[in-house]
Formats: sequence, C-alpha cells, structure tokens
Amino acid sequence: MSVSNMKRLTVFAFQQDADRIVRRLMNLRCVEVRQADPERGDEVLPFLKAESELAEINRNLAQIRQAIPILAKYCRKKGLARRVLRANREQFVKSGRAAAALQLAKDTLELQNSQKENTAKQGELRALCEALSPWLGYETLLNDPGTQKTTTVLGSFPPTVEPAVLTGELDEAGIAGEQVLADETGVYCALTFLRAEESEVNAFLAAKGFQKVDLPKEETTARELLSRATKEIAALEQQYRENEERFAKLAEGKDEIEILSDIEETNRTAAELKQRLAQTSHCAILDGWVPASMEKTVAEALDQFECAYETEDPAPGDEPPVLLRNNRFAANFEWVIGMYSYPRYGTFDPTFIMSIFYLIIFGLMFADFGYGLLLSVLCFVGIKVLNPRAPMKRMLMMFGFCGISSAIMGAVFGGWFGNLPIAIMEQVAPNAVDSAAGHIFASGLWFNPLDDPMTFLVISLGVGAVHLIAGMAIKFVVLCKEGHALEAICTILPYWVLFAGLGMFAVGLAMPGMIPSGVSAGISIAGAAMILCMNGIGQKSFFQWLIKGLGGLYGLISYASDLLSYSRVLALGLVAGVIAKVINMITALGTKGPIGFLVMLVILIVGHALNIGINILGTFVHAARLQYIEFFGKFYEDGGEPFNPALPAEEYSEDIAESSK
Amino acid sequence: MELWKSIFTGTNLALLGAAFATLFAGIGSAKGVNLVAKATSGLISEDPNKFGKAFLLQALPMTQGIYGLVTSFMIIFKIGLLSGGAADVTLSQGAYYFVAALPIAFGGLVSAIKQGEVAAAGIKVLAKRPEATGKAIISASLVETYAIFAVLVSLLLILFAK
Repeated sequence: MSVSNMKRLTVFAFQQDADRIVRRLMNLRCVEVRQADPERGDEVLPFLKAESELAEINRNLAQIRQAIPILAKYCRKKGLARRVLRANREQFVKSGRAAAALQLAKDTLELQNSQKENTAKQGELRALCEALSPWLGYETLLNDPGTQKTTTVLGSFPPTVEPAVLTGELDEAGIAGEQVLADETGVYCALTFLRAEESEVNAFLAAKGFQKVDLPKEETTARELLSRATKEIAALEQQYRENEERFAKLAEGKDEIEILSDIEETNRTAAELKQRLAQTSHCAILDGWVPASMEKTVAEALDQFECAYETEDPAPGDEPPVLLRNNRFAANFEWVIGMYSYPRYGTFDPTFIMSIFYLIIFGLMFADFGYGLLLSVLCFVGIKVLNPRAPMKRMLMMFGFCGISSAIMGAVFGGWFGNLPIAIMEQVAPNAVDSAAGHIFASGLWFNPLDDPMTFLVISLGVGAVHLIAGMAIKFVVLCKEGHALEAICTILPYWVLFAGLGMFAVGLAMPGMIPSGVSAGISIAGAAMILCMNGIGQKSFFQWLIKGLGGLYGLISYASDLLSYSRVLALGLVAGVIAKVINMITALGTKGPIGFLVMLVILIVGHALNIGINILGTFVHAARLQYIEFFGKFYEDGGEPFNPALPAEEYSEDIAESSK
Repeated sequence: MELWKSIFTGTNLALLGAAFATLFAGIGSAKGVNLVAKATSGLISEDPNKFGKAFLLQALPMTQGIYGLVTSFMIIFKIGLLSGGAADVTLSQGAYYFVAALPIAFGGLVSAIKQGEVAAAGIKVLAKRPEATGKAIISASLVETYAIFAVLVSLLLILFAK
C-alpha cells in the first residue's frame, strides 16, 4: 500500500550493444525508458536511428496482422480460454521457423486474394448465365454481323405486350421479329430490319418499351455459351473448395504466425525504444526509471555488458512514474484508482483502505445472497476457464470479492434473489412463511431494508461517516509526516470534536437516557468553537484569522452534503430489492401447468439476469464515485503517471528461454 | 357530477402517480439513451470493437426509467391493487401517493436527458482516448446522483405511507 520509490537510471554503452541492452532491459520488465536528454554540456546530441529497421518490421507486422484473423476462421480448435503458446524465441528465429511463418502469412494473403478474384469471376459468370437464359432457343451465332442491308438486335419487350399483337405491329413497322421466349419477365425477340430505317425503328421500339440486350459477341450460340459458362463456374467452385482446404492446411500454422507476431512486436518496441537513446560518435545514452527495489537486478544485468551506468534519486524537478505496491488482495483494486488518476509520486497510496470501503459499500448497495454468490462464482470460474490477461483477471478478482461481500450483506439484510424463497413458500407451503427459516428468508439475519428503510439509511450514513473520517485521518497522518503537525491539529482535529458531539447527540436520540443531551450539545459547541478559533492559527492578521475560522465553519456544509451523498447506498439497495421482488411476483402469476412453469422459469431467469446486470453497473459506478469524490476529496493528490516499463510482447506466446533465466 | 366522482377516486389518483413515475422517467430515459445511442452509432461505424464500453455509457441513462418503474410498482403494491384491496384508498391517501411519485417522475425526466448528454459526450472520449473512458463513465454518473435522491425520496414516502 505504497507508491514505490523510483531511481533514475542512466546507461552509457557502445552503439553496437544498444540493441542487446534494450532487449535485456525489456526482459527484466522493470525499466521505463525515457526520451534521453540530448543536451550534454554545450552539445546537442542526435538520437539513435532505427527507421529502416522499423520500416521492415512494420511491413512484416502488417502482413502478419492481416493473416491471423483470416486463418482464425479455419481453426478447428476454438475455445473460450486464452491459450498461451510457448516457444524459445531465439531458437525460433535461428531455426528458420520465423522465416517459414512469415512465408505462411504471405501465402495466406495471396490465397485470400485469389479467393476474392475467384468470387468476383463467379459473380460475373452467374450474371452472364442469367442474361443468356432467355436466349436458349435463339440458334444464330451471337457474333452474327447481319448483312450489308440488314442488322439484327436482341432485346425484350415488357411482359404487358401481347406476343400475337406484337407480331402484327412489327410486320407493319417493317421489322422481321423472331420471338424467342415469352414469359412473365417479358417477350424476348431478335429483330431484324434495314439499316437504312434504323432511326425510325429505334423510335418505334422505344415507344413500345423495348430494352436492348448486349450479349458477348462470341462465335457461338447462346446455348453453347451458357454451357461453357456453367462449366467454368463449376471449375471455379471446385478451385474455391480446394483453396478452402488449403486455408485449412495453412491454418495449422497459425500458432507459428502468432509466435512470430509477438517476436516482431517485440522487435518493434525495441526499435522504438532505441530511437529514444541519444548518441555520440561511438556511444549510446539510455535514460530511464527503475523501481528502487529492482535496482540490484538491473545492475546485475548491465554488468554483463561493457557499459557504464549510474542510478540516482529523482531530482526536485523530475516527475517519476508511479508504481503502486499492494498485497495480493488490494492489488486487484488498483485499476479502480487508475480510472480516477494515480496518486502523485511520493504521496500516499490509498488502495488498501479504499479496497476495504469499496467492498463494504458494494456489498451494502448490492445486498443479495443469491446475486452475490452468482457474481462471485461467475468471476472465479471465469478466471479458471478463460485464463484472462492480468488486467481482466484483476477486474474479475475484484468483482469476485465484491460478490462475496454482497452475499454476506444479503444474508444479513434478507436478500435471496429478492424474496424468492418467500414467494415460493407462499405458493407451495404457506405455513412455512412463519417458521424460523421463513423469518430468515424474509428479514435476513438482522432486518430487511424494505421493512425498515430508516435504520438502513442510518447504517448507510454511518458507513459514510467512518469513510469520511478515515479520509480526514489519512490527511492528518500525511500532514504530520510532512512536518505540519500543527496544521493537522488545527484544521482537522476540531471537526472530529464536533462530529463526536453530533454523533453522541444522534445516539442520545436513538437511545434516550444513554447520553445526556447537555453533554453532547456541549461537546458539539466546543467543537464548533474550536473550528472557529483554530482554523486560522498562523494567519498574520486578526481579520485573516477570523475569515479562516468562519470559512472552516462554512466548510461544514460540504461535510454535510458529502455525508448525505451516502444515502445512495440505501437507494440502490432498495431499487435492486424491489425489482427482484417484482420479478418474483410476476413469475408467481403464471405457474399453471407445465407450459406455465416454463414461462415462469424464463421470466425468472431473464428478469434476474437483467436486474443483476443493470445493478452491477450502477453499484460499481456509484461505489467508485463515493471513493473518488467523497473519500479522495479529503486527502488525495492525483496526477501520477502510471509506471509503464518496456516489455516483450506476449499477446499470444511466452518466451521459454526468457522465463528460465 | 357522478361521473366526476367515479373518476376522481383515491385509487385513481394513486394510479395516476404510478403512471407519472414510469411515464416521465421513461420519457427521460428514452431520450437519454437515444442521445448516447446516436453518438455510439457514429463510433461503431468506425470501430465496432468499442461497442462494449459504449454500451456501459448507453446503459447509464437507462436507470431513471427503471427507478420510475420501481416507484410505480411500489405504489401498486402499497394500494394492494394486486391483492384486490384497492377500493380502500381514500382521496387523501391517493393524493399522497400521487405527490410521492412526483420526485422521480420529474427528477428522472430531467436527469436522464442531462445524463444522456454527458454520456454522449463521453462517447467522444471513448473514440479519441479510450483509456479515459472510465472517467467519462464517472462524469455521467455524477448527474445520476439527483435521480438517486429523487427515487430515494419517492420510495421513502411510499414505504412510510399509512
């Protein structure tokens, strides 16, 4: 639960070693390489160049990236779980597997292109077949040029034209028409007429709605051409199927391409990092951050090279990156902090304390034994089955823990998929509702917020009060550590006196006689007076002192609004509970017969699934909000840049050689 | 006059409240989700993989409609409509339920639309800087605070009805 100390690392090495050093540091996973400061004395140094190297890597990566999703479609062994391939990357490249994998990717893209061409060609041929199909009865060659005086055109009249009437009309217009086919799509004719009369004929045909058809001018009949095209289509289809089989074969090598993808991606990172190095005539200068705890490991690694290095504490103007160190439980909540902002370097890391409050508040808002159990089982099973990457795994872990908290709170406050057990008992065994079990199902181990919302509101606000005071306590400790103990005592302690008085007053209201109201009122007034007097201590003039003191009193309003903000815990808890109850009630309406039972089951499952979904979203967001605004507002110093060490790529695979080192 | 009396009953007044809660909060949510969904369409035409995160932003203004629905059901439970006791609701009790429904009806209406606007702007954050989407979700949830207070007041009023 702390922000890790950072050391600034500077390495001077020969240029020819730069690549190996960068890769070694990447494998250590604990160095963030920065843009080196090019100014050395009066000189401004250039940066190391790696453009041509990068260009080639990017070219290869582009092909690899395109090939992988294509082959993924042909892979038989598909599973939900993320598979991690294992390979010795150095060996992989040396033995030629890398080159083979790249060739495989190229073959895949080539095959993909040929399949696209094949599909396009098939489309053209199919269109041709369709155009030819009405002309099967037309026996003339398609490239028939006509005679010197006459010409022939092919085309169709709309289906509304009567073939018998048409014959007469064509004769009258001086056209020799051969009706090839008449069906519901039109009347298909070959029309022969004098070239000299072409313009009159065209006008006549246009008026009749004649559509000219252009068939390929081949030296063959339509029937012949159609059969040729059909054969070609069959051949193309055959080729397509064969290509699909080749794809399936290529897909067997997908793992190899994926390993290569990681290797090339690692190469790219290395090349990009090298460009951050400054260079002199023979040397390269690397500048970076390393966690103080890893200093020795890095030093041992660098000792294997001919290079000089030094580590030093951050200088006053530096902004070192922030690495949070937490135990295995709280580390799962770091991403919630990341959603807001990491703490500034050198300030307090609240992850552990926040995780405890997050858990409690989440549980209260989503208090249902069934929902909580389901959530946590889904999350933990998800981790086992899916084998997700670290960020996803941490998120699932966190929600798994939250689910346990919800289940416990649900048992305490009587949420069992809403009131499902009671709803069932009412249908099946009404007497059982009054039994001891019935009581626990109705009210939980303590009480049901639907029966007694005010008590639950008090609990919500009580948790809120503890949360806020914890935030103030952190500020108190931070101030003391920074040597501002007086400020801590003057600006924070008086509020606690006042809160203690108000708390006693509230207890007195709830349990009359427990604490005399005079005592609590006295402490409250003393607290308020302390705020007024002490808040301004250290100010130069009386006037400034008074303003500060009054400002401190006015600040109570913000504490009040912060506290009331926790009423959302009750609201969200009620909403989830009531919706669950409604679902159970609707379900109970349709329990007649086997079909009714099925309908009931569907309503029940879908309804509760929807309720869980929408309420997890709301609960997650509002539990986080209470941390960010109400809790962090009391002490947090944000703006830390997360530590982002250079890593080898591991999207698909791990390097065995590296992990054994 | 007889007709007027038969319409203006306690039960009907309470039901009017129930209708208001779902109606207005629902209108607000419809508009709010609509705003976000329109923005999302633009985003997923560019990058369909971002739908998951966009969906979270879309779901945020949905809640007001659900709060309205919950309030309506609470009123229906309370007046015993489902168990056949609705005839006993007096005029003043009906008016009480009607008033109890107003906070979520109108608080939900306005906050859902305004939350939709913030969430739609959050879609732009998702498009340009996906790593900051969490912050956009939190921003949108700030608006929801007032819908939560509204439903809290409505529910408390209904739970405490005599």
